[in-house]
Amino acid sequence: MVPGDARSVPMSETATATLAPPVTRSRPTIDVEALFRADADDLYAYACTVVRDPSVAEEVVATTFERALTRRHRFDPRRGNARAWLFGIARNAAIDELRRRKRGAALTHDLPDDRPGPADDVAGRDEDAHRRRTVADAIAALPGRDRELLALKFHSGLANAEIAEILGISTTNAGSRLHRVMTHLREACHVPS
Amino acid sequence: MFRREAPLHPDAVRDLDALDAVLGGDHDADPTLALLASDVDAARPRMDDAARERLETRMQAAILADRGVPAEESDAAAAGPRVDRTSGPDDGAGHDDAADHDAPGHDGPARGASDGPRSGVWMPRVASGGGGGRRPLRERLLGGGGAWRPALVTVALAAIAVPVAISVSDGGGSGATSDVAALSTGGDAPTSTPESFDAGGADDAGGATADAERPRSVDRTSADVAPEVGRGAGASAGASVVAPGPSPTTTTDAPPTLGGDRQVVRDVTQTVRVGSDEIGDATNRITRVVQDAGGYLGSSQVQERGDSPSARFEIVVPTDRLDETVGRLSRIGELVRLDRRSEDVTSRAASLEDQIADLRAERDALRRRLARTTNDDRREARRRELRLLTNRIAGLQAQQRSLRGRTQTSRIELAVVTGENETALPAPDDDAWGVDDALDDAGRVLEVLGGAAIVAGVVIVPLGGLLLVGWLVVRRRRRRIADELVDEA
Repeated sequence: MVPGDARSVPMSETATATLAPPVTRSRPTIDVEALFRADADDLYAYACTVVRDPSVAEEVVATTFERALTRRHRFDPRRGNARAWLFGIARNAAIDELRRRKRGAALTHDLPDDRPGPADDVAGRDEDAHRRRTVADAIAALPGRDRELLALKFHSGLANAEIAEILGISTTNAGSRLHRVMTHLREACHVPS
Repeated sequence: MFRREAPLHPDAVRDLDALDAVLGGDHDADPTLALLASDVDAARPRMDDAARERLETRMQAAILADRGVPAEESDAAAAGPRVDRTSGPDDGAGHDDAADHDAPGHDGPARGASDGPRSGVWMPRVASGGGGGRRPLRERLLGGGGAWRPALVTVALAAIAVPVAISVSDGGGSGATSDVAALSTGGDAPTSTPESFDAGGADDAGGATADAERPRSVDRTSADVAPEVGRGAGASAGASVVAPGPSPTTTTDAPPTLGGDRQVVRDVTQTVRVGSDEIGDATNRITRVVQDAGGYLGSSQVQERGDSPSARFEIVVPTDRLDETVGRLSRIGELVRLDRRSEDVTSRAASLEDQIADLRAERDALRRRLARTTNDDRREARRRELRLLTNRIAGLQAQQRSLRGRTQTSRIELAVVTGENETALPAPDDDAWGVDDALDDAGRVLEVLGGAAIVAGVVIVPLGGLLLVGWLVVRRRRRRIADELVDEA
């Protein structure tokens, strides 16, 4: 997420914008379509970072919103905001896809084309491009859970508490792991290639 | 699972706060961190237009299906571009329900949305009104149409109400019914039927049924009995006490035949209250009553003076004079308590008779064999055998005599009290359901519910604990598996 980007709107505002007016003595239902407009890109970035397959990530995003549509009445704002709820569904959908992929044995999709090619070598002369490629490589080398954490924080802009809620860990643990990832990336950026 | 975590290091907290500031748009927070965030964002996967279009189409189709648009229309909407991907066998069995359980903010399993065919035209798997989608079990039972909900509530209420009703009704006429069963089978089961006058009026339909089954020779009306009992309790009370039906023990002077050859052991426990200075007079009257009845005082203990003068008697009277004697003793003072017990010993007596007859026949046969025996040793052995048989017969005959004595005479345990601390005779039940009855019933219901709660607690708490532990273990395992899957990706 680029600082100052439109997607960097604080989470609470996003959640509030997607919540329907509260109904007396009943759970407010969420506007899944509005969530789709607001969060599809972030969800895709998260899913693609986790599963590392654009087509699978697309499927994960679609599945996520289908499930959200089906279960929107079960959403309880007291247990978290709509965005965290949506990412929780996305995580489960991604895990379902990973399990299916594991059972399928063969990787049949196209490999992501984010590997540096000859053109990137040329571009590597550029300092920024070189640094970005280093960071991208460092991210790609991260364990899956750290990548997931990074996606939730950097790509989706979730608060540590929300991340902890999604991953089923404590906020302290989420912060600790996040700090470790940051440290790792920083070190990777300073290592001369 | 429950261990306490160490707090974050202050440096880590500072870095995380700086990261939040950078991601929140504060470029001056930490330039290097802002650069890192920018670089990470550059590596962010971005959705291409084609993928976005496909997602839009699927989303629209799903929304249409959710709104109940006919399948043809939603299919048409869904027939748009879809990513053509084959992703291994899709048997729909690989869904991790717990994974969805772990999802924050919602509580349902993740089935359904990805269970359908994954090649060809995408079909929205959103559960529509027709219920075409595969729905979680809990949703199918409790949610959706909701037809199950009242049924489940009804079943749950019935599961609670039936044991309560049975337990409450146990205090009614079931005891009398068991008496009937015991009598009808002619068994020796003790048919102790305490007939204290406080229970006499409450001896409801069940009791009446039992009385109808009991053999008796004379049916007396309440008017016949009322003058004999309850003088101290008042005439009206006495009348209502015996009104529900003739008691098997309310007989006339004629000896009870007890329906043929029935042999019944009958005992009475009786308490009479007299004035504190009337113990001596009462004792004399009791002695006269007993003598008139042809009985005797088995034991007596009289305390005429002191703080609380009292007397206790163990009276033995012929059974056929029992009721008359009880009636006369009740008139000595205020009747406080009257319990009657009876036990049908007919079959026991018949059994003794049969055993004696058998042993006698055996003894006769043995005597004949003895007469034919010439060998001295064998004669001696048969004599010993004969003596044993004779002893056994004598023992059985003693039992028979004892039993006959118990059936021909009855014991009355009579207590004469003067103090006010003796339990007063409860007001006879007027068969009208009042506040006291309501309180009694409420107390009984609470008692039964409390018992049921204790039993349920004994069963449910350990079971719940085990289920909780199992659930935690399963959840932890599934989380670990999910983390491993993510790590392996």
